[in-house]
Amino acid sequence: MSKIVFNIDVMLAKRKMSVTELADRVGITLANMSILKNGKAKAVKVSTLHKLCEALDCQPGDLIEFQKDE
Amino acid sequence: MKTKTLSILIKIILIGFALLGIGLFAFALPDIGQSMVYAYPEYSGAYWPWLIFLWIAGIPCYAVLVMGWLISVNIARDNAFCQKNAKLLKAVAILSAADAAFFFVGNLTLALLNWNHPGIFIASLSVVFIGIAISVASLALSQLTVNATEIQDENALTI
Repeated sequence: MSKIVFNIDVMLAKRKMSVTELADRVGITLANMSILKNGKAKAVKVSTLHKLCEALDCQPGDLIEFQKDE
Repeated sequence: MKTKTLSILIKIILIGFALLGIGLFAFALPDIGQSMVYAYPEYSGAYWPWLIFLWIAGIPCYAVLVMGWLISVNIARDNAFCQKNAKLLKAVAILSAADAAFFFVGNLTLALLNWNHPGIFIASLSVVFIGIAISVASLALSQLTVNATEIQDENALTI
């Protein structure tokens, strides 16, 4: 099944930032960050996406990837 | 209002109903029955069938009280909108409908056996109607709880 993936780990490695620090900056809990990373989120607020891009200094396209089911 | 306060209030009402039920089934109904037998000795044979019928009709009422208690426990845990509560409400709806049907059939049977008064039969229809009303209300609440649970789950997974 195709899915939308959040490449947060890739950006965290590039920016040399921890998950905890990112969660603090974005203002979400570690549990919610985990839900986002594991692809279990049903929806993402635009404000959350904004904060993620701001904290990681990147574009939304750097974070979100569409994986097609081959 | 806090959910714990709401839960306590619900539990107080449930205990009140339980105590009223004990008063009704253990004291009031047998006493009324005895008074009627004294007034109309020809109906003495109907005393025990009537009493047993009313006691059996009361059992689902207590089952509903227990389910109400379980629902209030979930409410106290801030878990009002959950599948468990929806299932309990559905069970309340089914029990209420079944008890109303049993009460109607029982009254009709006792009437056919000439152990009932037309006035009492007509009055019993109001009890049947209350049972059906509780059933419909519980069914509606059950469906609304399912809908609310879905919205809550979706909201919980919105980051």
